[in-house]
Amino acid sequence: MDLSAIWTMAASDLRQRVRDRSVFIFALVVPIALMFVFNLLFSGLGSSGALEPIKVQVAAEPDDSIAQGLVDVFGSIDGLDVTATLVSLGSKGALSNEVESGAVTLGVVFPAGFAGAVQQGGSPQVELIVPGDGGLEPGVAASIASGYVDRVATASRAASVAGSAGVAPEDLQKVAQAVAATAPTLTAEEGAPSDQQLSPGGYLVAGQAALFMFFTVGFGVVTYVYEREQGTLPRLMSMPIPPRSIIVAKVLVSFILGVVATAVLLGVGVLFFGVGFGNVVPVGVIVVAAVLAATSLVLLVTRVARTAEQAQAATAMVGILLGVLGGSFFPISGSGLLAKVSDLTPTAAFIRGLGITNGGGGVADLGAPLAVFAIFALGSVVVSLALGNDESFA
Amino acid sequence: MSAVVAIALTSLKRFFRDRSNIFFVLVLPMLLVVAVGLQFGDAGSAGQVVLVGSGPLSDDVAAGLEAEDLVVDRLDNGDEAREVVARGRSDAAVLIDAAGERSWAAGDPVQATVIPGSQAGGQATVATIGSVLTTVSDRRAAVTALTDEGVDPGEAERSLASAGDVGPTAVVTTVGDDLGEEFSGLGAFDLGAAQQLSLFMFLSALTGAALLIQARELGVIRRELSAPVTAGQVIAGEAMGRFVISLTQGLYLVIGTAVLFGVNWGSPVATGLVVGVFAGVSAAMAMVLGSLIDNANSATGVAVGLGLVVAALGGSMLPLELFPDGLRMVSAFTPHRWAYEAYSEIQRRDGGVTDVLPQLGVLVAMTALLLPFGAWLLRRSLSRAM
Repeated sequence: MDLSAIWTMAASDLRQRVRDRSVFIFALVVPIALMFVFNLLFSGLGSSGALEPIKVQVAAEPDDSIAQGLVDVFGSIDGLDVTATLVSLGSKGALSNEVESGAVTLGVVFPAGFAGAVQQGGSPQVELIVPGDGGLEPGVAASIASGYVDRVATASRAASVAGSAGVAPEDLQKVAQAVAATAPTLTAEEGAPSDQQLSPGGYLVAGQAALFMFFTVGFGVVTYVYEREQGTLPRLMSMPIPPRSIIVAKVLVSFILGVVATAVLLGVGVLFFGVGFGNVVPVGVIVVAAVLAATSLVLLVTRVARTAEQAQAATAMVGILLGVLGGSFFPISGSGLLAKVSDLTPTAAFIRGLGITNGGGGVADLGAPLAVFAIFALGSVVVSLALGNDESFA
Repeated sequence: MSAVVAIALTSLKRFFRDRSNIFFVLVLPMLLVVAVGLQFGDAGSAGQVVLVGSGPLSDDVAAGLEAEDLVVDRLDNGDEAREVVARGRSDAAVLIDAAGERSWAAGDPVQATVIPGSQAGGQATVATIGSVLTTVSDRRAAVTALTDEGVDPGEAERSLASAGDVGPTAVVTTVGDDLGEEFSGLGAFDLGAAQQLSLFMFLSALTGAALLIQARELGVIRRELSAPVTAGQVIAGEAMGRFVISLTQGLYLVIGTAVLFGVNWGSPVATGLVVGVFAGVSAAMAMVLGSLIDNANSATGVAVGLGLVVAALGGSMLPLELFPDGLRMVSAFTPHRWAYEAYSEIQRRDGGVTDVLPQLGVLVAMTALLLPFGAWLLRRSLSRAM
């Protein structure tokens, strides 16, 4: 195979593509614009940072020991910045306003006569006042408060059951107190997820880079079909070069465009969104392998398409479908069948590979994503060759 | 008038003659409605938790989590759970190993491992898990206290379970705008369908702009002008062409999602009006784009980019209610935002035409600004071409 001829063809194609603004628009401008917009939209939703300080006000009668118990519970939680205070029951109306204005994270109201009602085996209601527009801190504080109320209820139930089972009335209070005073026997220790993950911002950048990779590599290989349509392919064939060199040159163009565009997109992510992807060598391996897989898939598309327009459209369809399925826009949730199918797409493999490199993984740790790329590349090339009665595949 | 309609219908025919458009206009939006519906449509779910462990304790914890409206996904392998959480596929994971199950059965304390996810909702889910673990723990304490008083353990568990109405309960009151209530009237696919409707109507009209450029490049417009029609009729026909493409897309999506997924589109007249007016804005924008750019390939790129970016800013990818305040102001400049508000009114609050008049007014005003501008640009480029 004549390498200099291949390079001459590839360089000429690259010059044309660079002059054609559509490559820039599809490969760089559109994905970068989307990254910026998504970053603006979703940065407000991320919860990777620490929780804001939580302020809880508990409205109850001054001698309500159960309400005081909740204040103590909030005071004893490690790792959360909580201020809990007991306020008079009369300020219930003001409490709603303060929760609405955001001055108080959670308001808790223990009605008058609450402690007495509980001791009598009644079922009074504790009101948790939270802001309607959600938010993380009110949710966390409300979970803690409702867990406490559950505990009081369980103690009350135990006393009630003890009464029905014939336990002496003077011992019922002892049963309730035993429940309330027992140290929890089922506790949680915080575990770490696998460190092979991307930050939410990194996920967004990787997802868009994976999605637009298909469009970008399409600009190389699809020109083969275009040359056939325009009648320049037979002229190339008449040159003293092996016909296969022509398709190799087209693949080379796709490969170069894909690697450059993907590297630029990841670089933009690092520069503007402060995300990281790990060591440059394994990241490079992932990018090169992913672009090879995408190029071979697009090669297969061009074997099936009759016109350049068809080839471009089919490439876009394959790219978008693999993008949605592979989680370019949002991760496929859970671990069910859909998630397993998603794992088999080059898009998901690319995102996962960058997660591994970001967690400090090296080339040796990239087995699973590289296997996905290899299967796609091999499968596409084999089918392309099987389809081939075309002159340049001969 | 017949010349205008003929030119418009030719545009529609040329649009669908490109068979790839059948995929982009008819198949892709439906696929996205399904994908968005499956991912986010489960409005009752408070989050997703992966639970690793098998035994009575794990079953108790799973039941407690489900009672808190969390979707529980049970796995066998801790490493897999760590990976699922790391990849943002679950809000949190709970790990209870075999030793933990044995300790629990023997009455000893157990420490479960809880792994928070980094995505939105991770920490709130962890707090809920904490309160579920406390509840399970308290129930054990109650059984122990009763057993100590001579009650049979089995009897104690049964009696506790049937005494559910004894003791205080916590009720949640929300103040201010209630997000949960805002989405409560929606079916699984309703929100996604309304979002994709605007996204694809706008996108189809804009990608149709490339046709306008081709029509100039290939001399179609010059031939049209050589016929006994005025330049005004040609321009009106081309504008009508973009309008018909967008309207076809819109009506197909409304009817298709209603039939296939039972999407509730409320009052047909109100929805029809919003779809029609939105098709007008989309067509006007396509005229501007198709006249400003001279290269069909570049126009397709710009159309896709602009279509997606404007859709994202207008609430077609993330519900407007979740937007930060600054971006919500920016969204007022996109037609999508007004259509989103109109569909919210119609779908969630059974709004009629009068309820969506303000949104219709804004959309008409946008068309009134863009359409003359687009027509002027096209007339200018036509006079240059001749």
